[in-house]
Amino acid sequence: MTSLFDPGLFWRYRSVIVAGAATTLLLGACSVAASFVFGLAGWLLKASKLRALAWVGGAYVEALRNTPDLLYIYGLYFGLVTIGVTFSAFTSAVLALGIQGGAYIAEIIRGAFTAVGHEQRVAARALGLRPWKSLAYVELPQMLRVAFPALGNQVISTLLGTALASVIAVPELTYQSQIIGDSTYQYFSVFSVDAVIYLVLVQVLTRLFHLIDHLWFGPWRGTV
Amino acid sequence: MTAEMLAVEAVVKRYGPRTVLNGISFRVAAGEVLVVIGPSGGGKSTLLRCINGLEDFSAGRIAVDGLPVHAHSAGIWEVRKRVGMIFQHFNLFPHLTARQNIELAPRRALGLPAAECRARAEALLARVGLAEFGGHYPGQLSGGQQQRVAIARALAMQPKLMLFDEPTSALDPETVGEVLAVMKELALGGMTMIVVTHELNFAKEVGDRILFMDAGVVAEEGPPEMLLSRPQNPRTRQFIQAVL
Amino acid sequence: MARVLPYLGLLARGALITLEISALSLACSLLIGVLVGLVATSRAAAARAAARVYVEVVRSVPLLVQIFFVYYGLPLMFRLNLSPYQAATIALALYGGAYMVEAVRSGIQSVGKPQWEAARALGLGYWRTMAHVVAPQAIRVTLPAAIGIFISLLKGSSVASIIGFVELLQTAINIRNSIFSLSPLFVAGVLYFLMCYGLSRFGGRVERRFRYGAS
Repeated sequence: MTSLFDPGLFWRYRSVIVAGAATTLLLGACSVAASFVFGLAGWLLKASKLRALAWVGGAYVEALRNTPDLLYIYGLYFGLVTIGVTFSAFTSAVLALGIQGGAYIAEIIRGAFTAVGHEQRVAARALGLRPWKSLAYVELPQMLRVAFPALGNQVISTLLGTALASVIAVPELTYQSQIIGDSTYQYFSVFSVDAVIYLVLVQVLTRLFHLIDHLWFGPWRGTV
Repeated sequence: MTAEMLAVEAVVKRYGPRTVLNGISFRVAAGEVLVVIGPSGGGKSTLLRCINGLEDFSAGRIAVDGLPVHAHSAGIWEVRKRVGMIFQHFNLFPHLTARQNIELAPRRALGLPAAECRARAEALLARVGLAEFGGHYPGQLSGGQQQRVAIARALAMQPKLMLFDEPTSALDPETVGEVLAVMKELALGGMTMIVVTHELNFAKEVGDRILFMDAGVVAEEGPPEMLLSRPQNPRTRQFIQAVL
Repeated sequence: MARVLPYLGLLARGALITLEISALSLACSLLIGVLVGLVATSRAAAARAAARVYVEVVRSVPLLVQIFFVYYGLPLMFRLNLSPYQAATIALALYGGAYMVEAVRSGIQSVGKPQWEAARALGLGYWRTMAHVVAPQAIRVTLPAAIGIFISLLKGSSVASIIGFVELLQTAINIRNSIFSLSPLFVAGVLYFLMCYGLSRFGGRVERRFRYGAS
């Protein structure tokens, strides 16, 4: 009779687990990067003065926020074959998580832009700073500070989303856990550790973001 | 022969159905200190923002130092280099120190080398009495100190005309004096200034001319001694009595 | 695109299944949220800590892993058999429950101390105050949040497809495997969108009504 929890299991499969965790982190990093790119594009579209572009941006944000991630993971991997486009599993996952995260990031940027306020832009213009310079030196730094907590949460959300890539056989942590589980039937142990590893990653990232927030934006505390 | 620094001719500005500036006209000579008073909503703030192109206007003409002002033209940037603006709520950049606030525009808008911007910032900080506060963030400064930094920031661009939009209205009474002192020093130094304010004492001490604005036009203008003690227009009289 | 037409009925049924499991999980989440939410605002430090641990864990682990844990892991621990439907409902309930705890907590905390003091002065005990003073006001914050959680559950239910529960997404995939077209996924997307977007608009209306209603 096998016991419920078998610690020896993890020593035996340690390389598989470590490889899985590393893939998770890599997939997470790529997806986060992709989501920032899509998010920036989405925001610029939605904020555009051209009605058509603004509509496209708005539609992107609303569509992605109201449909499940898994739909895009399947869609990009299986679906596009029908129109002649093939993506690898890893790429499909990065794109799927990227466009999903991007929709939320576009809204975060929009909120931060409004929060920084019109008067800052006015003051910069009055000093002779042209729009691009005003954006780079006055508005973006402030937007970053306002958006930082929300962006941090979104990064964590995307990282957790990488688990879904296991359904298209990307060898990240949850996929490896399933493999180990299927060979050893120690599902309780395996998924417990799977969960704990994510928990640790999330907690580390959360503390890291708090630290960065405190160090980088600390001195401004108490300002508008 | 004094040069003319600002010409405002029959300027009209509307916000939808409301006419905020109704054909206002006046001129300001170089070195002159013009104080603009009047009831809220009379268009004083809008007028200042039209002068440096932060707002556009539908009719009339504005010229600064001979340059025509058109809010959306390429030439507006030249105008903004010659006009400094001080806001009621300071509008300092909270993510930069006082020194960095002052250095930003010379560095990035004029492209001056970092060392020179540094030197200008230090000199201006000393001039407004904040020499040791260069490394402080706006959040660490009092209102009066922030407004003085704002003045230094505008001066860093070496403007020929300074616009003050109710510079002391948002300040605690104790700090109003320190800001007015800096403004006084500027005026005595020959800066051309347009000051929208309720500080009638300042107008008396330093103003060359007072403009009473009401309903989007100049209702009355004249030297302080005359306008403040013997106003001709009944609305001017009404306003001054209410303020004093 | 036309090839999917005969399957529209199946997809609609899938959408109903999605709605059903999400609604059931929402109800359970609400129960969990209220119970744990009350614990989270109690005066016992240990209870508050336990509630915080529950919320932290659920929010730091992917939903898929939670579903796997409930479907594959719990049966080993409790010697029971769970169907995909049961496991998915339990996992979704626990998942939604953690967010519901936050919603309930914010709702309760939105009712300021002065209200509690006034109630005490009138002689109302803790439970009476909760029921007649706090809860009606807390709803103004909690209900919009609960609608948001419902939307998350609608999207999250798609993950249950991985343990074999046939809801909207799995239905679409099954159809896709028969007709080799992208359309069923597209139609599923539209159906998800209609459900979630509709709910979010409704939630917005609810929020606005509460804001402009009796203060």
